[in-house]
Amino acid sequence: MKSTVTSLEDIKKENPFRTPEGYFDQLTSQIMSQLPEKIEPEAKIVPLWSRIKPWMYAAAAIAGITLTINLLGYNPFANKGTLNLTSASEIDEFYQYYEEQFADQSYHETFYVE
Amino acid sequence: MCLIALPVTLFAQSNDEKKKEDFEKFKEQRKAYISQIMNLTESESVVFWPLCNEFQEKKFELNKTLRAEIRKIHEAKKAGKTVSAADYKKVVELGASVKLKEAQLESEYLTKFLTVLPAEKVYLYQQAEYQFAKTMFGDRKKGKS
Repeated sequence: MKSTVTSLEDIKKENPFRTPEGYFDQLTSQIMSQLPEKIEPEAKIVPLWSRIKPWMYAAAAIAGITLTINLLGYNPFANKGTLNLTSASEIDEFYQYYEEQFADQSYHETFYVE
Repeated sequence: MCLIALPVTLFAQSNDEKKKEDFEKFKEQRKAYISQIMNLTESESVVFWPLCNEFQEKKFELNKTLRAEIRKIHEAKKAGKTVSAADYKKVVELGASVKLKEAQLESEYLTKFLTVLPAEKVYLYQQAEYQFAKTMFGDRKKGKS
């Protein structure tokens, strides 16, 4: 029987394993093509209205509260009960009003003056 | 242009300031005069005056709407425009409604006054405003436009 034992030195010299030709050339592209499609996260387009909405609700709430306070008999005089008029034209108008209301004595004198 | 406008605005400002000062004096005089006629005590005064001023403020605001409508008619006439029947009707109805509301307001506030003042003093109040107005404006009636 022919001795098939080869010495260690003979084994070391050559690598019996071979890769197919061109294996590595295409390896990268083959793997990549087999990967599932990369899902780009969709850029969220937030409609303008959605962004404004919370502010609109806040504004509406504030407007509603203000309106309610106004309807509850708020008067525009600053410091209610002090006749605090701040504009000259308002003052003129007040004098006119006051005069019309009270300076006409004739009716009043009939009833009140003793 | 600005140079011309500047002194005008300064003049207007000082005029406005004077008006405000005069109005403050008017308020003080009214308070003193009416308090004297009513013979208000210090503690009565403290409670009464905010209420009384509030009453006048509300009556004034009520009156404003009517005054504005009447002014519109006067101005239209001055400008030679015809005033429509609808406009006249509006003012007539507004006048009636304002008078009614004024009476209701007066009733409301006289009731309030009665809770803080003796009845006699509330009675005196009603004359007091008239008398004060007469001293301030009585002479002016003739020059009224």
